[in-house]
Amino acid sequence: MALARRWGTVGLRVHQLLEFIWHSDWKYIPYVWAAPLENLVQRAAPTAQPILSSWWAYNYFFATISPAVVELEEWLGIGPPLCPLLPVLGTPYAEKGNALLHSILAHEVGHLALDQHPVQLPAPELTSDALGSLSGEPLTAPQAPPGSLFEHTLRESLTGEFSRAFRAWAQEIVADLFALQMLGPAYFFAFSFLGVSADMLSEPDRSQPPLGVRCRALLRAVEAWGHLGALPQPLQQVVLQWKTFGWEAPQLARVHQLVQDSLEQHLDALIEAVNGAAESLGLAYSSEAYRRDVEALRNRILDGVPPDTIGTVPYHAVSLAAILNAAWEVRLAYLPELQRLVAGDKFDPEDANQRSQALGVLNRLTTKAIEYHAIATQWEKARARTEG
Amino acid sequence: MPVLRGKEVKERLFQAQGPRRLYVTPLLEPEQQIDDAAGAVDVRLGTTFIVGRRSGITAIDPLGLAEAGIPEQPRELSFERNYESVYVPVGQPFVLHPKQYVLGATLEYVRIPADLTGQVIGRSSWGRLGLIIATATIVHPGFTGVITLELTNVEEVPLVICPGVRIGQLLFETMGDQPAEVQPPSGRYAFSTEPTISRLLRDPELRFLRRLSRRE
Repeated sequence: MALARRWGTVGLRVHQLLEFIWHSDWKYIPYVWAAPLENLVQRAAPTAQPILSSWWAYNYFFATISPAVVELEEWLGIGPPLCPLLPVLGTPYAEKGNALLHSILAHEVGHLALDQHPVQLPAPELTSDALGSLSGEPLTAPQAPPGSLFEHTLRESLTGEFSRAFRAWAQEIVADLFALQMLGPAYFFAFSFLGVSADMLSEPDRSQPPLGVRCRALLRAVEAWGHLGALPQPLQQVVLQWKTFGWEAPQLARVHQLVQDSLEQHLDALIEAVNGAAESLGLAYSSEAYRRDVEALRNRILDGVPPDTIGTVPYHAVSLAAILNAAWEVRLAYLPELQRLVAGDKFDPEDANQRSQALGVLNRLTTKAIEYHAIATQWEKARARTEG
Repeated sequence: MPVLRGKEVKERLFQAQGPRRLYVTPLLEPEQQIDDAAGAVDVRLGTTFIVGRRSGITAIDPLGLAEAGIPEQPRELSFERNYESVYVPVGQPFVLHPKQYVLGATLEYVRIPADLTGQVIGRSSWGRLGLIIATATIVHPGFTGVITLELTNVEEVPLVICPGVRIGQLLFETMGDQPAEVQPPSGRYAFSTEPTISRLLRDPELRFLRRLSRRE
């Protein structure tokens, strides 16, 4: 019976895996991202074989397939496990061509990094005062039975919910911070871009911390890790504007309000912990690298050329982070210049159609640069192997 | 119009700034790809191909003249439906069958300055195997994008090609004495990052030709 149950679980997972593989055809995914993502993923988990998949739902996601299979292998006494780690990184199909927004994928790699290299998360407990403030009202309600059983159950469930939510929310923030380490400000811009849409268009997701908290954590880290000073003036203004952005305050249960307050108190500890972990994994993209590369890459985009390299001879592709940051700079502060190049004599800064064309060119140039990054990286590896 | 020598090509690629700058990127093996003597830059085969879907069409009729009920407006989308895009990673094979015609592109993205014109020609080593890569060989001043290649295998047996291989050469000529001016890239194929199907439907005289066809 137990074996059948396990086979059932494995069967379900294999079915999911096949679906993910089916949707990982190049026609469905932003395929030029596959190699750079594999590189990032394998720094977090060297033996992982990532699958980039796409889904009809409008969501970026992270899932792992292998635990159920590994569990079965252990149960059957097969060791060491044969199944490699198969992390699935999911993208919304609707955004296949949106190269800039795919910076969000770094958040999903952040979950993998956290899975493989647990960061010491703070584990605050609900104080009895806070618990009292939460449990007072229902316990004094007339229908509440007197005595301790109900109170005990309620206290237990509130404490449990506080710990569970704190951990889940902290993990999301840690994944955000890992992503910021990997991609620098590009991740912050993609997050805020997607976050505003989510804030305005959908119901808040209780499994995740409120967007305002995530944004504040990222803003603190952008400053703490020296990225703010590396940005050109117009981009600094963009970042500073986010400090005063009025995220819609979600309707939280009181226990979740306490979780949020507690998280805010622990943000600095999380930022410090992720900084150390990302450095040791070789995932960090420094503000010095940003200062060195991004302006020249931005100028290439404004010349109508992919932002793939800053050197001359020999050819060296720049990092994925540098490409994305240059693209976000143009997107947020220099788009009219690109629009002028694309529109030529007919340039009209108010023309939405021209702006849309310029955005299309920006996405294509960015995608091309990512493809060149992947090709050049593979090329260098093949050359090194050939030359022994 | 003098052809640029290797030294001049390198100066344009690696030292010139502003409107004189020539972009050809990525040059994965610059020493191998730039021929000093001929002033040619070898270009590689890119990763995307456009293949015609033959099964559903009776004729390639980009002007729509042979169809009944000729529409007034061009129908680019309906024309594009006759083609399928195929991605092949660098190093993977793409089989070009005898007499098959597909569109490919250079791996390299180029931007030609306003005072230069480019010419793309096939490498004779591939030509001797039956491969023709281009018919419209002139790349206009100011062109920006990957260069679409019209690939045909004129041999009688299939030919295996693969993205990343050096497939053609780019030569550059100056446009006489006129100084380089900053000109925005223009044209229907500007900023293309993949091979692009024919944009014949955007020709301004098409509307006139349609009227003639309907004897109006």
